[in-house]
Amino acid sequence: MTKKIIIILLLNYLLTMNGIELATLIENRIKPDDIKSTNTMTITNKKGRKKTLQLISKSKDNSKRQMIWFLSPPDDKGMSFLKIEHDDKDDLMKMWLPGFKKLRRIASSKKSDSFMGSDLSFEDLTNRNINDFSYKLISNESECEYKSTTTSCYELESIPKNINSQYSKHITWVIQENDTYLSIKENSFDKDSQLLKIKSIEFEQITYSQDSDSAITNSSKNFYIMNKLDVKNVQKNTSTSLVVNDISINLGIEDKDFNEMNLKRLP
Amino acid sequence: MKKISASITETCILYPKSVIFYSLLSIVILMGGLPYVHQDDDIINLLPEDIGSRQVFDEIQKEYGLTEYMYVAVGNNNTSILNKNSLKVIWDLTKEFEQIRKNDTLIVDNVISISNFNKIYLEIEEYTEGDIIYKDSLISVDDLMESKTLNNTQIKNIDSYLNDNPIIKKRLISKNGDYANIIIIPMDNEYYPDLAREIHRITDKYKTTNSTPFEFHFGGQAYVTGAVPDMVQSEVKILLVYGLLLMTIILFINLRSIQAVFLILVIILFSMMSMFGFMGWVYHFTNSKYFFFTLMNTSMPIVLLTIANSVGVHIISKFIRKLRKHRDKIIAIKETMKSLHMPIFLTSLTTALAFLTLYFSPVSAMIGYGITIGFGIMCSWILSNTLLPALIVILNWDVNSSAVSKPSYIENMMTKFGSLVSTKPKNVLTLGAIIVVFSIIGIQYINVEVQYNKMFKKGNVIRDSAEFLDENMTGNVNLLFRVRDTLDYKMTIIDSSIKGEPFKEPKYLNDIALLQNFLDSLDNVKTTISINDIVKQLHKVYEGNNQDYYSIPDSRQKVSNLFAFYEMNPDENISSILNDYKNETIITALMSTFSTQKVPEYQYKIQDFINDKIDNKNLTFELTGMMAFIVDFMWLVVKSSIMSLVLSILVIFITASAFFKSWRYGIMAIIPLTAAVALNFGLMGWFGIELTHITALLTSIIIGVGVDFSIHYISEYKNYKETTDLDILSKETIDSVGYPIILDAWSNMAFGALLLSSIIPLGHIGGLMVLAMISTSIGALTLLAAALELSKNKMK
Repeated sequence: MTKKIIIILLLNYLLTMNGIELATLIENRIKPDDIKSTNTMTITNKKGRKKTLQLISKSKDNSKRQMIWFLSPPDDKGMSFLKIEHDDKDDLMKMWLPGFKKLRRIASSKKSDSFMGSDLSFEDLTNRNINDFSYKLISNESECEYKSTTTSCYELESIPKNINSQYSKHITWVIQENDTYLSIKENSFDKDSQLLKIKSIEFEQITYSQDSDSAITNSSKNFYIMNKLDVKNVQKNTSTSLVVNDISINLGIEDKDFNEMNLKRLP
Repeated sequence: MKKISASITETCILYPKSVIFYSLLSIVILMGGLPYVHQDDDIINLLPEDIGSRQVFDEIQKEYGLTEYMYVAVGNNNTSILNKNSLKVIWDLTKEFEQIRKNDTLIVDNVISISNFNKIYLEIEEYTEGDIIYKDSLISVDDLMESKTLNNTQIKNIDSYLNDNPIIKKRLISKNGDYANIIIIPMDNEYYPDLAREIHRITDKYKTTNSTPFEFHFGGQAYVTGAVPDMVQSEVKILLVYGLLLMTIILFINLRSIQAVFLILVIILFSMMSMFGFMGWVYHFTNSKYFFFTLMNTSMPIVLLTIANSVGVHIISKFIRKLRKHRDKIIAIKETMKSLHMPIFLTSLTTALAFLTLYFSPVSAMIGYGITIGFGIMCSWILSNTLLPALIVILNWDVNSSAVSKPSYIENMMTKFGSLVSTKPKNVLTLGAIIVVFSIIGIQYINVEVQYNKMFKKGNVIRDSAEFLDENMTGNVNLLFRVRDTLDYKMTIIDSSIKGEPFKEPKYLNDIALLQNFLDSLDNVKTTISINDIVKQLHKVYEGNNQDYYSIPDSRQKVSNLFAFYEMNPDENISSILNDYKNETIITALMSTFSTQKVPEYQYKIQDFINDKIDNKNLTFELTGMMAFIVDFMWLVVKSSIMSLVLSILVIFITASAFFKSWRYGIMAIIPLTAAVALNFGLMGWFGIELTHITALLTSIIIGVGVDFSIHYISEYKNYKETTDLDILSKETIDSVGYPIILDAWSNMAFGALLLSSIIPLGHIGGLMVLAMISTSIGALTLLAAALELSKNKMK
């Protein structure tokens, strides 16, 4: 009986949840301090031709600090990218082109630019500040596909407020796994309110224990780490698939490691 | 055959109203197809897909998008275009052009102008890390105009950017800086006509609404391709009406009877309606593109008109002469149809067969053209044997009127002419032969030209605009060069994961630069565009906007890094110039209008340069562009016309031999025809009239009309031979058949009205039409008549 009451109360709570609360729940998903991964990015152009890039990524503070090094194709090997997000000023973005042995900053106003010719823009790689958007919960009982299974999900609308964005709004489908809210699909609309991109995201659950690398102890934590991202630009009819492999977390990467010197050499 | 014909004539006489009713009913049913006539303005559809240069061109369009552009130059003479108001207008025009739609479908792929041209530049930005303020330069790719309304500083910045980048400036602004160039890239070539119309609609607003109205000039191969069909069709419509009016007047002057002229016009108009109705029905039931009404088909009404006129004139003039003799319309029509049924059937059959030989034409549009005209000719034959005699029967003919009772002046003239031929046949034949031989010599001077500037008279909007763009902008036409590493290209076809990407190699880019520099040195080349322009610009900017670095980088890695960097820009358009595997690229030479005769010359020069200067044997260079394959197409039309001519002459020879039961008559039938063709093309050479795909069509008219004259003459000659003394045989024949031949030829000369056209080839058609009528009619009455006179004893 008690369980039933709790469930009813919980359901009631969920049903009355509003947009900002859901956005906060997504934002508050527990994340590791840092992540290192090897990624494969496949870019498909409108003629269906594919280009595959291998890259290593290191990030910290929910990707507020991030460095990416390109391993292949051979011609792009050694190119790298540094991003440091700031709350109170423009973000810092720099690219290292090894052929020229020169660093070049990327203007923060260029967030709509494509990242390495993919369908991901620099803005897509940047964390969203929860206060920069207004939210509206469109539905709490939508149906959506996740890992080939139909599941119930929330539908959340986010509209940028007073920020420089390439988008006019996002519609995000959110599922709940245990206590964690995960954005598994997102439609992003351009400034003319036309659908621009469809993103599908998959997560991998990683259990981390400080005491042992493998044993699950009381101090173990479960992290949901994105391990697959598909982006389709419906206007250009191009797509990008990012597969995240070899994920390592909480390696003790420090803020100072995100510097120009490290950008110039492969990890 | 004679019995069938006699029975048809008998039916027309006994039941004229029923014959008229059923004839009209059949015409109405055929006319039901008129709404299904499918007009197709896309000139590209006319071009066979297996022309080599077109195949390369099509592959380029598929890989890189459309390469034929429309240009709109906007501005005012001697007023700098870089001012607030003009830039606002360019901004608005660019936005409006970008949104041009047809039935809600966007028909513009891209618009490039000073407002949205991608400038690659270094931007100085200050930023702080900790307490330290840093200054850094960022590479930016932005639109040249930041917004619609600019302040003086922003305009000055644009000016200095353009001055720093003269190659870009050349593409966007006229050499005096008073006009801006807006480049419109269509979504598909099928939209060229709609786009040309819409561009005029949009720009017309700016000609009137501004306090200082803007001047506009339009050009580019895509624009001309889109604008010409409308222009040709509207001119043909007007001039056709003038021609028809003039023809009516000529017929009336000679026949002096309204109802006689009316009957001829009825046959002409109903044949034409039936022909186009047939075309509509066939398209409706088959959806075959052979039956599109294209620019080529514009000449169909003129061709059928001349042929149907010929049938009508022969019947009516014969009827009037018989009426004068017998003073009874029933006897007159019976005798007319009796003596003309065979020649009319034969002329219709041979002409229709001659047109049907176009079925073997490599130009698909000509197949439908031949079949449709063939049908129209047989319609005019049927109507001449049914509707025409029935109408003659129900109309009242005043036998005392001067039209009937007195011969016309042409008839009188023919009597004298007949005497001349029969008394001095050798002289007539020799003179005719000399004229033909003299003409044949002129054939070698024929120039082949499809350059559209030369197709329009001065004062025509297309010609004037083209001359303006040639003089002040980057010209009107372009040639394309596809450069490919053949080995790498073949390998990526087998295995797309192979990433040789040879055009990242500085050596390859330097080879392109060599060719590009050579192209820049050629006459008529205004500027060239290649992947090197982007690479050099990026290199310069990446190296701190240092002009010394406006060059190809010295390592593959640098080139690759620049490509990767450039591809980050959302508006990058590298794929419009370099393929995804980076083993094939295109070089575009923007050129002022030049003669198509220069195309092969350019081909040889460029090939020689490549052989001498470029030692990279992996590279292949192919020249194409609409200009190049229109030249190929035109040669195809010429070859097709020659093939059709030979086949037609063969068909006429066989048919005439079979019906006149002697190969000698077969030979005689083709003498005036071949002489007329030689005369026409020879005089084209002597008078400098250029051979185009339009003037080449004249062969059809010469054959269609020429064969009529020959067969009517031979048929009448044979008839007289059975009853008349050989001494006066030619005189009698000319006396009888000369009048309708001359009247037919003279009335067809009314299409000399086409000489008034502002489209030069149409004017040429008008002039040559007059010449064709003279040569075919005189050819029949001199060469043929003299040849028959000289061989009358050998002919059965």
